Amino acid sequence: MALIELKNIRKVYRQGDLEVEILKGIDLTVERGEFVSIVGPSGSGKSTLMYILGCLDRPTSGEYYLDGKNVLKLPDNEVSKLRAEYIGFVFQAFYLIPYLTVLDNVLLPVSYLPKSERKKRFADKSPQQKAVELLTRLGLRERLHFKPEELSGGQKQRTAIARALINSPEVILADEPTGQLDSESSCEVMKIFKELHSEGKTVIVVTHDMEIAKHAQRIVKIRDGRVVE
Amino acid sequence: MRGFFLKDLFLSLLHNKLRTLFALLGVLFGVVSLVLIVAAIEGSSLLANRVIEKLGPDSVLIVSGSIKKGPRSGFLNLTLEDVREIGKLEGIFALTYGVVKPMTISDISTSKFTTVFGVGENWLLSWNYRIEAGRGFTDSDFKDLRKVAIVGHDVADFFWPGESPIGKIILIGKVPFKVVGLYAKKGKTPNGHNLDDRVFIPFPVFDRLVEKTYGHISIIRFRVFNMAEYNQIVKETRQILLKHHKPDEFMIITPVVVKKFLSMLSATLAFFLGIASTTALVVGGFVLSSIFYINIYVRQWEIGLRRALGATKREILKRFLYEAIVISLLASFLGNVLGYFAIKFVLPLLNIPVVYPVEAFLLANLFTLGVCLFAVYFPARKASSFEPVSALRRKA
Repeated sequence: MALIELKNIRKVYRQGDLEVEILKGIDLTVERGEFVSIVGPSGSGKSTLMYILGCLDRPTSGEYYLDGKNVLKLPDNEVSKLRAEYIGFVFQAFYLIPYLTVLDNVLLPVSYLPKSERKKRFADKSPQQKAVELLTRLGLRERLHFKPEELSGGQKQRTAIARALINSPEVILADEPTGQLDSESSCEVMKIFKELHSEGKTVIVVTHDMEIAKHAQRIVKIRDGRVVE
Repeated sequence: MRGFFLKDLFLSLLHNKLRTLFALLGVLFGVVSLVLIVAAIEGSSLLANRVIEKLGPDSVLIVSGSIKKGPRSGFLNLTLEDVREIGKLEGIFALTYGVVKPMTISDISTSKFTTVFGVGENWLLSWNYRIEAGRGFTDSDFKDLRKVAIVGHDVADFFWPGESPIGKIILIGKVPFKVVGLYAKKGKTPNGHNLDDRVFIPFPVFDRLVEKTYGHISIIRFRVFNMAEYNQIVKETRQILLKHHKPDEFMIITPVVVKKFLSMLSATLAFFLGIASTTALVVGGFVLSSIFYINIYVRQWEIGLRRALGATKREILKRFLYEAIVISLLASFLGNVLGYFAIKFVLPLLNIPVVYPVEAFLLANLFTLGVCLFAVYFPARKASSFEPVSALRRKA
């Protein structure tokens, strides 16, 4: 069974009397352990697609199976828990909470994991231990107690990646992860994604930049709300 | 993870310092005034009880003057004739009367301003003065018009510090009186009159030698044996007095009247403080609510992020309500401290005994918690209903 299965996903936004169809029937399957990039120019609907993939937005019609679960049939609170368990987000604007340290930012998703899952996933290591390990691996060992404002862009994004990994989710979902980074940091971040992929993680990167997309194993091109390749 | 939740919560409150401060101040004044108002009301009723206690719950006090003009011991509307007629009533005891004159008394070298009472038989008994040294008045003091005086401690200590006043001579007006008794300390009345700065002399002597009153007096007092007859006796007393006096020439003071008068004062006080404290708390609630409304929009991306990380709507709602609880607890704590000092320093200015009503503190804290939760509930619900996607797009 595929990890992610989208069937004929349509999304229509209403702007006054005007209906704008952003996604015009998308079919997409992502297997476990794949590294996929979704590429398209701005306005192509790729961000909307990524929010739907991340269970943050609901399509107007279509079907979405995540690990066999019919996401669109679940109530909002269960979908929220699905996000905590299955998806690790990495955003273009990092979204680090300014009053929490690097370590606490990484620990934040643990507090939203259901108790039973928390016990299961942190049976061997405490969340703190795991956070320190992840941050060490990402080269932030010396920055554990820094505030986000004291970090460079690359460091911020690496913190965000650690946060995305803390709950051991099935999928890493990155939305323009290099959009605010210089080319050196961009390379670094993509290298991390490749490493995660080689360790068996499923990684989906959404970008408008073909150079970035090329790092992936499979490229899905989107134009005008349709998958073109 | 509970520790993490609290850490996250407090750091967030600390990060939004100004918001937390204003929200706090808004509620704080409400708490303080609420505590103060209840203390003031309780203090006033305590005052009323103390006055009644001093007066004696079984006593009837008749003074010259009226409520409208104000009872004045300076008026001499009552007469010895009234006393004789009231004396015919059954079921009363300790009937006495007197006149009051604030004046200067002196011995050879010094003089002092004090209050001189020309009193009837039974005065000391009726008002519970206890003789500490020397003797009380005797019948022959009255019959033979002896120039004798009984003084309080403040008078004795002023003229003869460290000495017994018994046998000493003082001049009241230009007449020398011999001190025959000293009464035990009584302290102050609830209204602040010093009970130990007084000189008592027999009324007939006062009338002849100090100031001619021609049998007119300002105070009559007696006590009632059986409280069941109290109201009937007060009624009969009024009828007797109305035979010779107009209704506005005298006033019968009973514990009921005292209570009515004092509670009228405290009701006025309670009304104004009540308006103030309610307004303060309601305004505080509005302030809190608007501050949170602004805050959730500023922090919209943060709410979107938490939703993306797996927070349910309930968890978002809960989080803001917890922020409200922390603010309310802080406001309560500071409000209690400030309220304590307000009671300590404001109530004495209003001549109200200082009381610290524990229930009022508890009530104020609960009420504050209610106001805070109510005020924050609406913005919190709004925050929890943000669409994660559009919330995330609003990065500050």
